[in-house]
Amino acid sequence: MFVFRKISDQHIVKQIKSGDEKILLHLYKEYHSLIKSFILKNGGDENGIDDIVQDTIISLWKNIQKPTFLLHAKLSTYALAIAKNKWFKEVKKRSKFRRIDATHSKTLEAKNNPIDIDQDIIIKLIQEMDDTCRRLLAYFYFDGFNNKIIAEKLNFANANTVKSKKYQCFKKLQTTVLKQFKKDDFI
Amino acid sequence: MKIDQKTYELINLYLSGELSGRSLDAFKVRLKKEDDFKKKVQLQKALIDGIHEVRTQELKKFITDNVSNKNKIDSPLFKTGLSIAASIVLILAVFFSIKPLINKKSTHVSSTINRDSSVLLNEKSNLNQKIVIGDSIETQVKSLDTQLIVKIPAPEIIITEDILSDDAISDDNEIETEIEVIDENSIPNEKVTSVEYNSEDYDLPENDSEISISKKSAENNILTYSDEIRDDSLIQKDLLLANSTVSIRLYSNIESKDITQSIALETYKASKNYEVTRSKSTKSAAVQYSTMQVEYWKSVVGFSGYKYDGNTIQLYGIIPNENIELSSLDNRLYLKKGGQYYEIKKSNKTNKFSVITNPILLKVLNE
Repeated sequence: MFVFRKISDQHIVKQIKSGDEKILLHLYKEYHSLIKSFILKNGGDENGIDDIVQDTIISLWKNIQKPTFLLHAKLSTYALAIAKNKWFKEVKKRSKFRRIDATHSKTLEAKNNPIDIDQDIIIKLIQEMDDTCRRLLAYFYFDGFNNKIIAEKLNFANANTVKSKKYQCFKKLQTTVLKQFKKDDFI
Repeated sequence: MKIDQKTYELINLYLSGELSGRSLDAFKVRLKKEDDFKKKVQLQKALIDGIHEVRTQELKKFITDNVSNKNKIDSPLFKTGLSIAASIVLILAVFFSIKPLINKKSTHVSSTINRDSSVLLNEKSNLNQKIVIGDSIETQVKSLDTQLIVKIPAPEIIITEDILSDDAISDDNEIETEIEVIDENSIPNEKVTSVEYNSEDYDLPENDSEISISKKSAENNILTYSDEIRDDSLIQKDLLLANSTVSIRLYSNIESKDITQSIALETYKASKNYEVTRSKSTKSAAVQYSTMQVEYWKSVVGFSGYKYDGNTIQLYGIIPNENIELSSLDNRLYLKKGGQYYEIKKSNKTNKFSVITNPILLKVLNE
């Protein structure tokens, strides 16, 4: 049977704050046509629309997790505003890539990263971390969950356990990363 | 490069923008002066950026995987196809489940049958009875007012059909029949069977006013069918019992105003002009006699009534030896049977007997 269900904005915010990732699927379906329509009307094509929509939803997820977040408009309006920023940034990025060559691009990246660390290696090392540490760090740094929610999601005893465990995991990651690079890069 | 928990938490506060005031100033000074501290901050920032990137990829993968799987199921085209398939299955299920009930249940269904020259019967003796069964049969529900029954065994169907005149058939090219489904085992598996008629049911006079029993009528009731009708069908129709010529009393010279005058005079008998008008009416009401062809029919559905086309009266529900009288008054035909008068209206359809209750009219008819 087909179920047509409209979820209120308040309920969506509540779901996001509780860390229910399934709400991302609802947001994607709900706002995909809206964002797609905007992109197509503003010089875009079918390519990359899904990426913009996904980035928008994830930014929405991250922003709502912030303690200072207050919803003053419809969530769809807010989502469209994020999508607009992302699309204009994408347009700007595409026009830049037309003008600069690959060498120049690498120089630009090096300037943004003062210490010579390959971000791909860091990503690879993070992905290879044990699941609990990786999720803990992601929940804290990316999702912005407080220690209480992280404790619930990872079945920790309490928030203090999260705090100490977080430091241990980060230190472990830092040690792993340092082993991959020359000591001179950091001293 | 080792980092203690305090420094780690401090850098976290700085990178998240939560450091402020003197703490922030002190942090910035330290960042400028201490290279080691600066690199620690840079490394921690690079690791946090990496964590962001990995988590973003995870969430994107989660969305992509689930949305693409959902789309396979929730796509409008898939939903539409699924709905259509479900509807077809449901309709078929309902049809096959009620089909046996339809076959067993007694229903009256009238059929519109296109005229076809394949079947015509009883052309000579039963002028008004022709059964035409065409190549296609279109059925529709209609009330029972029929003169012909078609029995079709296994599954047997009785089609009861109005008597249609030749004109009606030729004009419309259609006749209407009514189909009654009867018990499957009640009718023998015969190709064609004659009408269920027993002339002994009626006590017919031997030589009574040109009455002749149409014994051939039973044979004429045998029908043939087009290819559309089952070979083992039995068709039964109304039965002509007898026909006769009956005399009619004609009051052709009496006009309506005379009757009206008579009625008025009967009402006001004390009037002085009574005798004058009475003699005038009597003078103008010279009775003449004519004849009318009367057919006595047995209806398969027990119909009691008549059909009068202007030339012949078909009487249903009246046995041939019953005394009847016909009178014509003011171009209207009246039938007297059992001491009561009935008006006979000219119509292409069968009508029920309508008793005359007007006392004045009855008085005139009885004169």
